[in-house]
Amino acid sequence: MRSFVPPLSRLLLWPSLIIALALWLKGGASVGGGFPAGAFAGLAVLLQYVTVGRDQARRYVAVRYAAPLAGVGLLLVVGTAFMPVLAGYAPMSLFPRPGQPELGAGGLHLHTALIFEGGLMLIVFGLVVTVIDRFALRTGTEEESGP
Amino acid sequence: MPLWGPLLLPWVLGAVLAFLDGRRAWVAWLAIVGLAGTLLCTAWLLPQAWSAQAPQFITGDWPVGVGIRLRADQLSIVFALVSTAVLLGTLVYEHVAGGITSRSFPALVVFLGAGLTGVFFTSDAFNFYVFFELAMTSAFALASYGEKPRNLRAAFTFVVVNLMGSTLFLTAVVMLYLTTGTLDMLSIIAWGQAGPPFALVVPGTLLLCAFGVKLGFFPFHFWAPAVYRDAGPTVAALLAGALANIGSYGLLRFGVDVMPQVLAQARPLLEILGAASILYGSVLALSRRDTREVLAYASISQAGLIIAALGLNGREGLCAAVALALAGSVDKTALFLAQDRGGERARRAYSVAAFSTAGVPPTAGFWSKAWLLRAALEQGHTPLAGLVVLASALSLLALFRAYQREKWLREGAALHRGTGAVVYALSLALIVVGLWPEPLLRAGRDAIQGLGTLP
Repeated sequence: MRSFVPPLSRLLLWPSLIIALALWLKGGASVGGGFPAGAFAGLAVLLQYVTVGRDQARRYVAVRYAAPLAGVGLLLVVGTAFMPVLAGYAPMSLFPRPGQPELGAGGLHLHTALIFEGGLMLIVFGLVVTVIDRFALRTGTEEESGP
Repeated sequence: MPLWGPLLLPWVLGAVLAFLDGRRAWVAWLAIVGLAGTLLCTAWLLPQAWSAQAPQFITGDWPVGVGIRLRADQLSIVFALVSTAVLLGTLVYEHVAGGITSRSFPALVVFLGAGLTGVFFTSDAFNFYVFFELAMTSAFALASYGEKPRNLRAAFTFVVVNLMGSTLFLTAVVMLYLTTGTLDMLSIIAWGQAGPPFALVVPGTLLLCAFGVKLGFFPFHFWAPAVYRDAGPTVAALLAGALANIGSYGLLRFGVDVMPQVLAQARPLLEILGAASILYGSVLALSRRDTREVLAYASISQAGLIIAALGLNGREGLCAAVALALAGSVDKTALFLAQDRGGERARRAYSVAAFSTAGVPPTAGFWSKAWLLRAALEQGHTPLAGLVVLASALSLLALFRAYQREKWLREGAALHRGTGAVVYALSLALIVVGLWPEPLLRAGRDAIQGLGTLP
């Protein structure tokens, strides 16, 4: 009998990622932010590893390139934190500056903090997935070589 | 030099290094040059830190309380300088000792530097936690460097124990925020002066436990011998020489600066913990056969000296605590790096660092211990003074017993010139400070003077 868990977990992946994106985007104004978004997306990937195995989970590009993704996130974080310094502002200054007209619609406001949080999300996601992948690799090889 | 200089450099460098293969020689040299640049940037801040207005900025130009305040007073600068120098020395050592065997080693050392600099420069309790965790995460990854089973075992112990410490620290930060309504250290100081005297005792106790785990004094020492024995010498030097500084700095910053009223209440306890640590560390150091374990127990005894110094009334004891932490950091780095190498220079470096740990003149360790001795006698704490002398004698004995067991200390095996130069430079620094102690004494005195809120 086929278990319903693998297809269900596959169905859950995309909604989970969309919730993670929502957590990231609404982090500026309400509960959320880059860190929980990254952790949530990482957990969604962990579910794939547990239910369908490493090979299937690595079909997704973001999973295969998780470690470089964390590096890109780090560059985004460092960039948004220190780029304002070049223009003479304090580190981590927000653009558009408070009081200046904002971009965005409804609850979505576009500003540099969003890029910073996005970088944070990528770092957390990348690290979580890399660690999971290492564990999966280790247990996978042990099972193959074991009795 | 703006304050963000030494913060920016390791971050950018770490981000770049993360993409590169650290086993290549030029990548290692890039990391070394970058860390040296960080050291220079920090040294550049010295005159500003000693001026009337310590350099500071608030992130994003937000008002205090919304933005995070970063500030570099004398205490921050001296700890940042010594820790970065230790990281630099260790990285150079590992590179010239025969090559780095892990892709991520230089990037992790630089990230450890970024975390440590952030910890020393931040003036916000939660931001302190963030940088602290960054440094710890790098240290977790570094602890398994070498990837032999014993290295991994050391890493596992280190990670589990230190995650418990981090949880305690985070709980303390949350309690601080709930009690005082702010995370900015200067605002907490102002709150503490006006607020009820016992309000911060519980977060203060949690902080003592959290930093106790980092610094490794009795009864939070249990992880240290296993980790220092099983991790490679380079990693042990990084952990004991640079990372343990978070513990001593955190105790000084939170105890002396942020919560002086809690420190005043905790003094008898600190003195008892310190005395227990000194006794325990020195006696067990004498009973061990593995030199690395001896060093681990000697570092527990060293941590006990710092705690006992904090427990003394008045400024002199605190100044001695700063000097002990700074000299101890270099001592331990030199001792661990001299392990297993052999050769004339490593032997000399080992003996100099052992003399310094035991407090024999003319070394840096002598002055810091003499300072503690004087402070203890001035306060009429004769038993503590006796313990300090006893610990010195015992650690001298324990460290030089290594000559009976360790082949590398007796035989003149050829030593790579570069590694010899690193340990030699460290031991030379200890002797120079021993002959000309003015910078160390002034660093200790001014670092405590700059905190200012003490009675």
